[in-house]
Amino acid sequence: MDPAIVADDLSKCFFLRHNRAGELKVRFLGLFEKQRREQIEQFWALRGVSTTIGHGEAVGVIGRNGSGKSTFLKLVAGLHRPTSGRLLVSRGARIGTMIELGVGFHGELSGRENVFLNASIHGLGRVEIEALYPAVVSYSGLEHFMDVPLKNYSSGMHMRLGFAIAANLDPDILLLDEIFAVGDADFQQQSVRTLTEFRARGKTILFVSHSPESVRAICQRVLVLEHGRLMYDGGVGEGLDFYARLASGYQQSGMSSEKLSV
Amino acid sequence: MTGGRWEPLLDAALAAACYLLAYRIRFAGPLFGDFLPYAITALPYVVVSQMAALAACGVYGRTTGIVRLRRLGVGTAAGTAAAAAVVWLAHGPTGVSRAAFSADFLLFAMTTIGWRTARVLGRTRASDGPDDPAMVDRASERQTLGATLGSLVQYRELVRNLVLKDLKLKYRGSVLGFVWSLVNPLVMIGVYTLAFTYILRNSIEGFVFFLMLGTLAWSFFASSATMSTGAIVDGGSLMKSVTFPRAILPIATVLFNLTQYLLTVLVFLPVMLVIYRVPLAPEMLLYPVFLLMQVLFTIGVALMLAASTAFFRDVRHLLEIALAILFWLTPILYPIAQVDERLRTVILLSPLSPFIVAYQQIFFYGQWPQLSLWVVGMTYAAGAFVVGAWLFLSLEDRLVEQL
Repeated sequence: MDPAIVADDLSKCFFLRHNRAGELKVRFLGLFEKQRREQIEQFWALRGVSTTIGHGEAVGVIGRNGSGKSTFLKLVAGLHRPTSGRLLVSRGARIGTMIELGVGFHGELSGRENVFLNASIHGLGRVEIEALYPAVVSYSGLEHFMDVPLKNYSSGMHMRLGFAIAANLDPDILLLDEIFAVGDADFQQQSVRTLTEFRARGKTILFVSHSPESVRAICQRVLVLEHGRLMYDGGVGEGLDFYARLASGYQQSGMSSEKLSV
Repeated sequence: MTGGRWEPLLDAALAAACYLLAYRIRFAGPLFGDFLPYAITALPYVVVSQMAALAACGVYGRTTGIVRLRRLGVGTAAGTAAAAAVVWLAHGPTGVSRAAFSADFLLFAMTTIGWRTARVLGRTRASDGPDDPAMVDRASERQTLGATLGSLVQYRELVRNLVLKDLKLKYRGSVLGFVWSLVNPLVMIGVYTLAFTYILRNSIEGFVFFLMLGTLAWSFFASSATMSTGAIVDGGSLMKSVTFPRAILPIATVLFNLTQYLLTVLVFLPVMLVIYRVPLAPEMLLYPVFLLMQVLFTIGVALMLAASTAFFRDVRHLLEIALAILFWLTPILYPIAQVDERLRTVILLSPLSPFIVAYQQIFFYGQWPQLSLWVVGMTYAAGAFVVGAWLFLSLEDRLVEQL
């Protein structure tokens, strides 16, 4: 199987800046008082992750908050640069991302205008978007809301529209981050069906989720991350058990799961 | 990056060319002939002191990036100061034209920084030696100038949609819509007419036309610059979740302002030409040429501002001050001919002057724009664009993490 994504000793370090020196004020005060000076804390979101994901694989990425799941997705998408190591992604692959809810949407614009804006962010031309538009609308089931400004949409409708666009862009690699957090059962079923179809058509899927059912429904393989390290890489059932043990182990030892989103 | 032996030679040639050009700009017309012998005798001193300063500042050492840029800036400034001092010693204080030397400094700094930046931009590859042609390494991937320019074509629909979005959002919900864009200049015309006929009496005929040419072009630049400081910083959610060439955001901002400017010009220019009975002249065909230069210059500035605001939020406030000063350093409310002759060169070298003075010469005086406007305008446009593109592309990777 051809690899679609190869991570080789991949690490990513974020610099958390306290007292941003981006402001002249901080620089100036820092001359007099030491604790006012900019403090930079290193945060290793990923440490030495190595894995190979083949074309057509559907891989679930699970782990607690702050374990590096989203960072991994963002590195694959090219939103952040790796600090060290290598991350190879197949050249010319169209990458579809559903990383944040309703991204690139503008509340004052209508649903239709948002579809055009959003699809063009992914580099599509007008003719392509016009050809795509009916499919997006019928998939989202929002026919009656396309002329309504997006600010009047519910968060579930946002999600539907966003997913409808991402699914119809026909990407080769689909990166999904917690997409089922909102949306009703209907929508969840529909998306799971779409993702299974995607997999059948040989597309690669990276799927971040906290829901074991969705992971079981979509993925054939699971990566478990913990503090930026890859702890498990293998079958779904075993991986979910491993993660459950990991999570309960922390609960027993009294460690709360810290919330860190970078 | 170590330079070849031709690097200092090119700089020396540029030093000589810039100095002569600076003289040409300072002493226009027949005066130039009178002063040329002085310029020629001083030329060796100037070139030698500028080259010595560049070498002393370590421009030819093994540096790249911001450090080299800073050394070039310091080197050219020190070199020009040294040259002025040497000429002073050789010819006495009267031989030193401050205006010519400031022009020389600006041109020399722009050209030396410009060609180096252009070379770096041209050499940057999309990926540094991939061992597998079928894969891209995210760690060494770079946006190149060529790729960015190419992506402007690929993403033209995005550029169009961004511009349209801003236009729609601006006028949506207001009863008069686009008419509001015309109200502002209309009021300006009224106020200017009152002010300059009754209060600040001015004998120049059709002076309001003159004012509008400058004011409209200035506000195109000023609002592009102001809006571009938010192009990256306010595009947060978009930047955090979709990959696309980030340079599109500030460029779309400039194009949005350009659209507005052009729509206003389209309405006002014909009306003004009729009211003030300006005869049509073939020189007016040069308007798009200078406008293109101004757009390139503005895009360069917008790229610099958009990227640097992500790192220093104070840029916004500094820009406000800079624009207030720059407005008065640009011949908008006064004709450049009214300026004291010694200051004229300085005013002519202020960043927006070459474009605005050219519009005034083309439309108001019906003249072919003088040579210095071409030289300074092209230098500024190319210099700002190249340096802006380089700065933006080299910071592009780190922008997301600064939001």
